[in-house]
Amino acid sequence: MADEEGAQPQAEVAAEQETEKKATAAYPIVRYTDVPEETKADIVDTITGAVERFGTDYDLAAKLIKEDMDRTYGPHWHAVVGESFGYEVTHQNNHIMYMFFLGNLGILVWKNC
Amino acid sequence: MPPKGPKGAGGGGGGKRRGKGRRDDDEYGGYTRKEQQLSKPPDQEKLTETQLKQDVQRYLVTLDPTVIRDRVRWDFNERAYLIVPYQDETITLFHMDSKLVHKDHAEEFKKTYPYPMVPRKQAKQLDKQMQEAFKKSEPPPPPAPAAPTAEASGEAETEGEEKKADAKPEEEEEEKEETKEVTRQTKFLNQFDYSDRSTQTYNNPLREHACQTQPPPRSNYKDYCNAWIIYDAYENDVENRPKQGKQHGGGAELGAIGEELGEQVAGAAPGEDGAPQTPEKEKEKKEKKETVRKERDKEGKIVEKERVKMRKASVLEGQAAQEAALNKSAEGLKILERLVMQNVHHEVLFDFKYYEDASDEFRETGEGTILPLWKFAYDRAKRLHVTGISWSQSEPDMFAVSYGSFSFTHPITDGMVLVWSLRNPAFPEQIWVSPRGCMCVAVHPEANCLVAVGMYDGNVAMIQLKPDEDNATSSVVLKNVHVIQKHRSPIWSVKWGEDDMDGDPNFYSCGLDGRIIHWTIDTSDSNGVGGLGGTEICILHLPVAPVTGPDGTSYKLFGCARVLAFHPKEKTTFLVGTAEGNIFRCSSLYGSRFQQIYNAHFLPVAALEWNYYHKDVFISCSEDWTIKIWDKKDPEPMYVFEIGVAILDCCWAPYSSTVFAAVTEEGKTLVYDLNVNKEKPICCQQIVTKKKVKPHRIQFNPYYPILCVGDDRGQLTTLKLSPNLRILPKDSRGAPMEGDPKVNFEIGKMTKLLSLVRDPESITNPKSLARPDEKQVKIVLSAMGKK
Repeated sequence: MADEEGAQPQAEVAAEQETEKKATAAYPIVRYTDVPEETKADIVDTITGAVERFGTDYDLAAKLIKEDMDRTYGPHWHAVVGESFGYEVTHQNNHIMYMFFLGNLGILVWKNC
Repeated sequence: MPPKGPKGAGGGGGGKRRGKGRRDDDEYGGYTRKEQQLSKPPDQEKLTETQLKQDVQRYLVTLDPTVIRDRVRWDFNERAYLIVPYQDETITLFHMDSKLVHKDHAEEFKKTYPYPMVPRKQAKQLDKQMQEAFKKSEPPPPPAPAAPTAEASGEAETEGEEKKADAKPEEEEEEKEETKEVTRQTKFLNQFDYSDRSTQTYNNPLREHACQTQPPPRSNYKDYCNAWIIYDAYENDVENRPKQGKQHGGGAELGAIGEELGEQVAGAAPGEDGAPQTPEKEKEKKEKKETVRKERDKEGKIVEKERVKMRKASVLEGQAAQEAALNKSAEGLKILERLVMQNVHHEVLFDFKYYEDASDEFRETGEGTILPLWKFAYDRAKRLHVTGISWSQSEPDMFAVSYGSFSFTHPITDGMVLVWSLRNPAFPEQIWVSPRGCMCVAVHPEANCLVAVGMYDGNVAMIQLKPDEDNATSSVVLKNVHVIQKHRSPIWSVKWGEDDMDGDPNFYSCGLDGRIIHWTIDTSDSNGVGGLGGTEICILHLPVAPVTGPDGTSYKLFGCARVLAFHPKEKTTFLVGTAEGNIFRCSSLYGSRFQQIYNAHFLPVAALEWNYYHKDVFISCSEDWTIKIWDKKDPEPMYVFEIGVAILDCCWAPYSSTVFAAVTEEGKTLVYDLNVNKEKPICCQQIVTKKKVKPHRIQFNPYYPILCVGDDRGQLTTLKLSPNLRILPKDSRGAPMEGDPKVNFEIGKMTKLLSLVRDPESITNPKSLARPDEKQVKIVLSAMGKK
C-alpha cells in the first residue's frame, strides 16, 4: 500500500517535470556553428522568427530563412528545416549553423557556392 | 632659290601703283575718290626712283651663320694653332616624319611602303595608270615630246598623276594606322571622294579574357538530426542551466574538492615514506588538517558573500539600465499612444470639433442639448469618488482631478490626484497616489505645473508636475511641514492666491475646523527639499453667543468651511461657504471681522463661485434643493432656483455672465441661461446611466464649450454644449464680440437682470421665495453645538 501511495506522487512529479521540459523546450539551442559571435544572435533570430511564423510548414520556413540569409549575408545560402534528417555538407568556413528549436526541429543553414 | 621678281620689291612704289589701279576701278563704277595722301613715318629712308626700282634679292640658306667655321686651337704638342674640324652643333629636339610626299618621289616611297594605299581594284587601276604615265614621263622618253599629239596625252597624264598624288597621302595615313589589321577592309568613300580617319568609326573587336580565382576556404560537416538527438540536447541544456544559476555555490564545491585532494595527498604521503607513523605526528597532521579545513571554510564563505554582493550589484545595475532605456523610449511611446488614441476615438474627436446640434435652430424656447464625448476612467480610481476637478487655465486640454471619498461613515483611506489630457482618455498623464483621500485640487492659473491638493487628514500638498532637469522622472511633492499649523479636519477646498511680491506661489485652504490657512513654500525644512508653511488667516466664528460647556467654560462656535471662492479681481476678497449654510465674505488682509455674513442655505453650501464678468455677483448652491444668485451688497439672494433635488455642484460659464451649470443628486446636469429663461433650465439631461451613481463635480473648460462632470465611481464625463447653450454676443455687424466690448456687454446683461429683480414691481420677487429657515438654522446649530 505504502509503495503504491509513494508511486503515485512520483509519477505526478515526473509528469510535472515532463511538462516543465516541454514548456521550456521552446527556446533555440545552437548545436554547432562557426559563425562570428556577433552575427550568431541575428541568425538565430532570423531562423526562430521564420519557424515561428510558418508553424508546421517547414518548406516555407526554409525558403524564408534562405532568402533572409541571402539578403543579409550574401548569396548561396542553403537551409534545411526538418524533424529527422542526416547530412554531410561542404560549407564555406565561418558560414554554418546547426541548431534545434521547439524541441522537435533541427535547422541547418550553410553557405556554399 | 630663284629671285621672285617685282613681288619681292619694297612697298612704297607698289602701294602707289595699287592706288592708281583702284582709282581706275572706282571710275569704272561711276564713283570718284579723293586723292589719297599716304602717311609716311618721319624717319623713313628716302630713295630715288632708280633705287626704288632696283631689285633686292633675298635668299634662304640652310647654313647657320653663327657657326664658326675656322676655329683654331693651340696645340701644345705641335706648338702651333691647329684648325678644329667643323662639327655640327645642331641638336634635334623633336623629329617627325612628314606625311607629305612630293609627287616626284611618290614612286620611290611606294616601293619602300609595304601595303597598298588604295583598295585593290582602285589600286590596280591606279597602278596601271601610273605605270603608263611613268613610262611616258620617266626621264627622257624620247618620242613623247616630239609627237604633236603627245601634248594632249601629256596633259592627261599629269592630271592623272595629280589625282593620284592627291588621293595618296590621305590613304597612306589610313593604311599606316591599320598596319596591324589582318583583314584588309575595303574603304568606303563618301560622295566627296574623301576619307579620313575621323570620319570612320573604329570598332574594338571582342576579346575573351578570363582568370581563375582561389576559392574561399571550405570544410565539411556532417551530423544526424532526429527526435532522439534533439531531446538529448534539450535534456543536457536543462541540466546545465541550473548549474549556471547556482554559481555562487561553486566556492564550497571547490573547497570540498580541494579537501579531497589534500586528503589523498595526506594518505599517499605515509605510503611513500614507508616508515611507520608515530601517533604524535598523526595528531599534528590531524590538527593541521583541521586548521586548513577551517581556513578553507572561511575563505569559501567570504567568496560566497562577495559573489552574492556582486550579483546584487549587477541586478541593480541592470535595473538602472532598464529604467534609462525605458525613459529614452518613453517620449516615442507617448506620441504613439496619442496616435492610437486619436484613431480609436476618431469619431468622438470629430464630434468634439465639428458636431453642432442642428435641431437647436428649431427650438423656440432657446433650449439646447449636451452631447457626451470622452469618458475618463482609471482602474485604480474606480472605487473612489471624484472630489475635485480643476482645469488648467493656459492648457486647453489639461485638467487635474482629485479622488477621495465623500462617504465618511465608510471612509476609503487612500486617494490620488490624476492629471488628464483630452487627448488621451485611456490613461492619465500624471499619477500621484496619496495615502489619504484627496478632497480638493487646484491647478495654478499661470504655472500649470503646480497643483495644490487638500487631503482628508487635514494636510495639504503641492505637486510640481513639470519634471526638473535633474529629476527627470518623478514629480516633486511639497507637503506641509508643521504638525500644529494645519487643519484638524478634512480640507474641503483649496484655491490659489495671487503670487506674492517675490513671485512665489501661494494658496489658501479651508477645512471643517473653520479655519482658513494661507500656505507658502517654506524652504527652512530640515530635509532641504522645502515644504509648505501655513499661516492662519481667520477662524469662522459664528455670529452667535458662546456656548457654555459642561464645566462652565465658554466656547465660541465656528462654522465648518465647505467651499472657498476668491474674487477674480479683488484678490484679497473671498467667500467661504459653511456646512451650516452661511456664506462669509472675508478679506485676507484682516481676519478678526467679516465683511458680510449671508444666511444663504439651511443645509451645507455645496458650491460657491464668483461671476466671471460682473464683479458683485456670485452663485451658491446647496443640498437644500436651491441654487441662489447673489449680489454681494445685498444680504438677500437675487435669484433662487428650486430644483426639487439636492444640488451637488454648480459653476458659472466662462463665456457668458448669465450661463451656469449644475449637477443634481439624481445625476442630471442642468444648464441655465438667465438671459433666455429665468425660471427653467435651458438644458436638463441625465448623464449618469446607473441610478446609484451621483455626479459630484462639474466644471466648464475655459476654452472649449465643454463641461466635465465627475461622479462617485471615479469616472469623468465630458459633455459638449449645443449652440443654443453658448450663444455669444454679437456686435451690430454680426461678428462675435471680443475683448472689452464683450465684457461690457456681459456686465450690462447681468446688471439688467439684477435691476429687474430689484424693481419692486417686477414679476419675480425672489425675496419671498425662499429664505433660510430660522428654525432650521437653530436646529442645525444646536446639533453642531452638542457635538
